[in-house]
Amino acid sequence: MPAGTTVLEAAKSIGIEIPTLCWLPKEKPWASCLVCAVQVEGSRRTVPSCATVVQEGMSVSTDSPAVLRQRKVALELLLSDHVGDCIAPCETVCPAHLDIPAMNLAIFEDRLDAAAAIVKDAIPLPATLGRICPAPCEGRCRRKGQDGSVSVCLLKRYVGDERPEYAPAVAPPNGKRVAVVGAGPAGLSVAYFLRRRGYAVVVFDGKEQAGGALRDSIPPERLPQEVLDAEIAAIAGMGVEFQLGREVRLEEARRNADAVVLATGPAQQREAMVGIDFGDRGIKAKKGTGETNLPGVFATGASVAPGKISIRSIGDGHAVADSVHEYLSGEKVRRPAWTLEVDRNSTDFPASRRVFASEEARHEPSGGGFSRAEAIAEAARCLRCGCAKADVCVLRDLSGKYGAEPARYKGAGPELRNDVSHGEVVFESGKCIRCGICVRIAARHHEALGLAFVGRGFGTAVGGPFGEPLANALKVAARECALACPTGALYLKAGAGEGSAE
Amino acid sequence: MSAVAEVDRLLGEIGDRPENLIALLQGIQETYRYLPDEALRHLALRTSITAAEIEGVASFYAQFRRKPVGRHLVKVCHGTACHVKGAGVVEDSLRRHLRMDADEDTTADGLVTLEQVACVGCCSLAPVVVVEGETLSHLDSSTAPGALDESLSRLARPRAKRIGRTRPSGSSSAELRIATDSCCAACGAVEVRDALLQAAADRAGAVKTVSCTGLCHLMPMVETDRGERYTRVRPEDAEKIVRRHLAPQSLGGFLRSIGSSVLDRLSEPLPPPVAPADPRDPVLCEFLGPQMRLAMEDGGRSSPFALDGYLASGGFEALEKARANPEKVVGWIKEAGLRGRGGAGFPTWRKWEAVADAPGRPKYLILNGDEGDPGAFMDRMLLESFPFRVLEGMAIAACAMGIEEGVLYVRAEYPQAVAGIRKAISMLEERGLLGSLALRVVQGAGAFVCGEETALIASVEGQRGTPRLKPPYPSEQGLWGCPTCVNNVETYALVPWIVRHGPQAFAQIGMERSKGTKVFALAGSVRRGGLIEVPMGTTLRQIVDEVGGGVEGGFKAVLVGGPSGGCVPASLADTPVDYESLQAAGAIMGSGGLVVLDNRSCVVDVARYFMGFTQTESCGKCTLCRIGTRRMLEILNRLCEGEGKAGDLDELESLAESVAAGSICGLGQTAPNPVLSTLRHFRSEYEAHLEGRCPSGRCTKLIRYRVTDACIGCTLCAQACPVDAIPMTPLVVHSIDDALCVRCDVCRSACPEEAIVVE
Repeated sequence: MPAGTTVLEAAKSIGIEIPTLCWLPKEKPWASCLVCAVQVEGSRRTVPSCATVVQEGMSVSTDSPAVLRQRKVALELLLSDHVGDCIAPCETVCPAHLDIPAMNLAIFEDRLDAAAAIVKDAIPLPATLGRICPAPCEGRCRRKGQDGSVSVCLLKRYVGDERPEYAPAVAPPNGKRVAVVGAGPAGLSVAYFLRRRGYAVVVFDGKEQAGGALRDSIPPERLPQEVLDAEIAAIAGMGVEFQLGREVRLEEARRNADAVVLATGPAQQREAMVGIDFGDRGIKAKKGTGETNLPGVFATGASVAPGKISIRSIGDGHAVADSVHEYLSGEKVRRPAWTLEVDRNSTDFPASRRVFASEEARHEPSGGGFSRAEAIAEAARCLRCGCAKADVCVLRDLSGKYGAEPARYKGAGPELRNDVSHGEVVFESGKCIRCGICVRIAARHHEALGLAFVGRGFGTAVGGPFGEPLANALKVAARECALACPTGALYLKAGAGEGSAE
Repeated sequence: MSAVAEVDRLLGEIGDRPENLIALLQGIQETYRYLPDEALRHLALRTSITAAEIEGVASFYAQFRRKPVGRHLVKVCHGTACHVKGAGVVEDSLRRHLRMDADEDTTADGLVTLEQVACVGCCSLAPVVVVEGETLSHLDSSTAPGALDESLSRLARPRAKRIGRTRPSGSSSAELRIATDSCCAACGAVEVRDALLQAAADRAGAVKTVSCTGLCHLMPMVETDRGERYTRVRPEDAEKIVRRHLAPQSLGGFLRSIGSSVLDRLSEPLPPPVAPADPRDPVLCEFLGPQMRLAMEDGGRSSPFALDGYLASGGFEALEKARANPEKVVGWIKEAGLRGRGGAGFPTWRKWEAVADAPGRPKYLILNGDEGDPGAFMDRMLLESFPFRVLEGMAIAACAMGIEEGVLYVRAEYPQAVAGIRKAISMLEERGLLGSLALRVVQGAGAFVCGEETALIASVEGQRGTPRLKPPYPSEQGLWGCPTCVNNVETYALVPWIVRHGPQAFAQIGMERSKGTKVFALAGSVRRGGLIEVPMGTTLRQIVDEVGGGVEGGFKAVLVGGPSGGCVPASLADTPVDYESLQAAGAIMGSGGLVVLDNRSCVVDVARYFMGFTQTESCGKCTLCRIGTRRMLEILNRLCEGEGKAGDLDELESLAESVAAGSICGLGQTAPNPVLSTLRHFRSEYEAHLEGRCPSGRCTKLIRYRVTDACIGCTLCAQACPVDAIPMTPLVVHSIDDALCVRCDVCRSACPEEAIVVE
């Protein structure tokens, strides 16, 4: 090791991962976040490895209980001063986990293809669901109780109606075959998501037409048949094979496929499923994965528990499709990550996000659904509660890894100041962890104003000097700062190119 | 003058390099009383200092204000001594009087801006409020508003001209001595001195301004060269004292003096002076008995700026000796066993040796005079009273390490110390006594964390005072990346004594591992507060009972080491003053603040006070300190307000341990000490707060005032109550409307029958 090598660098060089938040390569150590804590043998203290120089004969622990505890405490303290939703509450509560803020933004920006891609990433039947869904998402909208929740369900319907033919790209065939029993919402969902991954999928149903409960129990004035037909046709168009009007027995299905998913709805013909364990409510299946007592046989939707709303069946179907994929490929599918959510009763947080949204009250459609102008005006009301960097946020990633409890320390939070003045980037002060990375990058670029640490102690904030807005503070370094920011405090505006997470 | 022209003027005067930034901002603020953005923008334009750096520094230091202030600035001291003596209720009373809400800082008419300050170093006069440089002392909630009004009306009148300087003393004639350092001045010593000078104008003998005596509780005090002394003297007493002790110079004066002696007998007589050496004065014997003065040698006799006097009493002999044997000095310091007096007790010789041996030039010497502990004022006193001794110590250190450039970093809250040490430096330079050593004074700007040496260095370089992880230590990489020796004021002040008397003489004093003496600022609930210097090994009990004269209201605990230190309970008062022993008791030596608590003091409140202090003073860089101290404070706030939750104590303790173990600098590492030590020694009091009780009757949310049957219906309390919570019912037992009561304690102190109780 050359003289002056830090413990962090030394560890990296031998493949030991030490987490960091404030560390900026090629710069002097900053030593503020303290998540890179390590313990030098013989000391009770923990030290930041980024600023500790290795010495001859030094023995360092990177995973002692004290080290792990200190990292967790540092993360929990940061979280106690970090205000934001990783995932917007509407998306969290949506059983299908539709990225609603992203959909709203795409609608607002009139990018309908993008909106369709976002919607169909979670919901294969948006036009259908847009007519029948009870919309739990709207119940958790942060504008509810103020001037009306965003009309998410109708916006989703708008996307479905405008792009009925849209289907996602299908991965190349992977040579595996899955049989799905039942063509209701759960079965269609399983088939859709497995087909997208490149599986050969065949759907069996005793009825002559696919759709299950969607077709049988909803009056056509609410859900016209042609809407459902078009969306099922799009699924068939992806290459899903339908064998309708034919009951299939489990043994037969298993014989001809690598895995079987039972999505038979609440009224199963138990004698067709020999060997499957049943409970009080339906097929006994493991929650989340849908595994039954038979290997390679999964169950989902109302066959497991009756009375599910369709959006729940679609969400469950998606999860079981992932579980089947894990079973057949041995690959791990990323599970919903550790998530932070602002207290539901907070009024400051939604108030602070008004800057992202239109002030208009909830719009009601003139016809059955929104016109283009109405949809754009309604989508503009979204507060975009979710974090623009939810998928790349280092704080979130580490919080998950270290099992940080976000509510462990409660107390005063940061100022919630959202600066949207800049053409390329947005700054949300509530998510800033004072790591100083942007301050240092701005200085490196010799910005005329740049970013400063303002104040000291707990009240230290990051911002332009003399109260200058971001637009004036960052003339050259904005992109680099946004990309380097380890949290969602500083991010590229949608459409500002690479690294944009919106 | 426009801000642009003013900034240009300051740039010409002070310089435009990055390290001048803090001085430039201080200059701007002196002109405008705040920092106008226009001036700051111009500064960024005219210098290589970036706007971001200027904003960072201007917003970091508490001294700088970004908004215009009212016509008069009123600073309420919230130092430890002031806090335990009721600074909170004093501030509340001023706010009520000025009709200001808790979140306002300036009165509606723009007359007064109220500012909280960490400590003005007048702890033995607590609680104090400083009105445009005038210190109002020993206030309480009933006297503070009136004192403020009087002070403001004095400001409205033109100031009386200050007279004369100290007259040189004739060798044979009598001498009257008076100390006028900041805290004496705060008691009116300057007015007394001026009155003495006026009265002595035609008399033989002299009025001499002398160094601190340490007897803060008796100030202002006049002593004669024969050792007689008058205490708590008022300006109107001056003439009588002069007539009694100084002979008239002329026949006319003699005749006048006979005449006035006659008048004297007719007026109220002056009490007879007390001779200090007189064994009949047990008070002074007790106060001075356990003391031993090395750093404060000649206190009360020498004049701070009498260079000839300093030389005559052996001053600069040590420097001469060191210059003759520079290579031996480190060895002497090692043999003496001197350890740093700033708090941590690092062996001084090791620091000196490291700097002496370090490759790289130049090397720098720094005096750490950023005495930020709110309850300590030893360094201020040493700088004000013994400037030559401190400078000689620095010169010896420089000589031992081959250093030619030094910086004295002194907090801006000590204007008299700054002015004094500057004056002393130029006096020594005039006489060539500093040799090739160049010294300059840098003023801090209100940041406790700058007492941490790496933060101090950042501040000297003109940056935000944020510490960095050590190692590398300043002895390897200090100021401008060069080897740098940083020592505390008291450490330097002890060096001349050691060199002059020999290391053995020093090593014989004290304990095995802690040698010599330690200066303390003794304050709080002791009968005799003051500045004291005791040999290491003296017990806390001796200090409290003998030197301090015991505690009114029952000795509960001593806070040693301020916000970084701990709380030593009375049961452990036999702990000797010794680095290791204090640490074992849960405290630290610290820089020397000793605040004594009586049974009316609540330790949870004290822990909350210190945590409030450290979290305000946290630089905000590292997570554990920035957020951790805040979360600890919030738990303590909950406890003091009766809103504690089960599990709070465990959470507090565990967080305290994490912050102590993981923060990057001394401030964060020691910030949990007051919490941990009080939890250790007074856990039951914490538990009581969890149940919504404050056993000491201090936490205002947990107490109520009640009138007992002893009430005689005299209405004094009703008249005194600032919020009319006590109905005016003559000759009827009074009652207090709990909903209106603000717990200011005025009624209780007004009651002649002790009929108002706290429960």
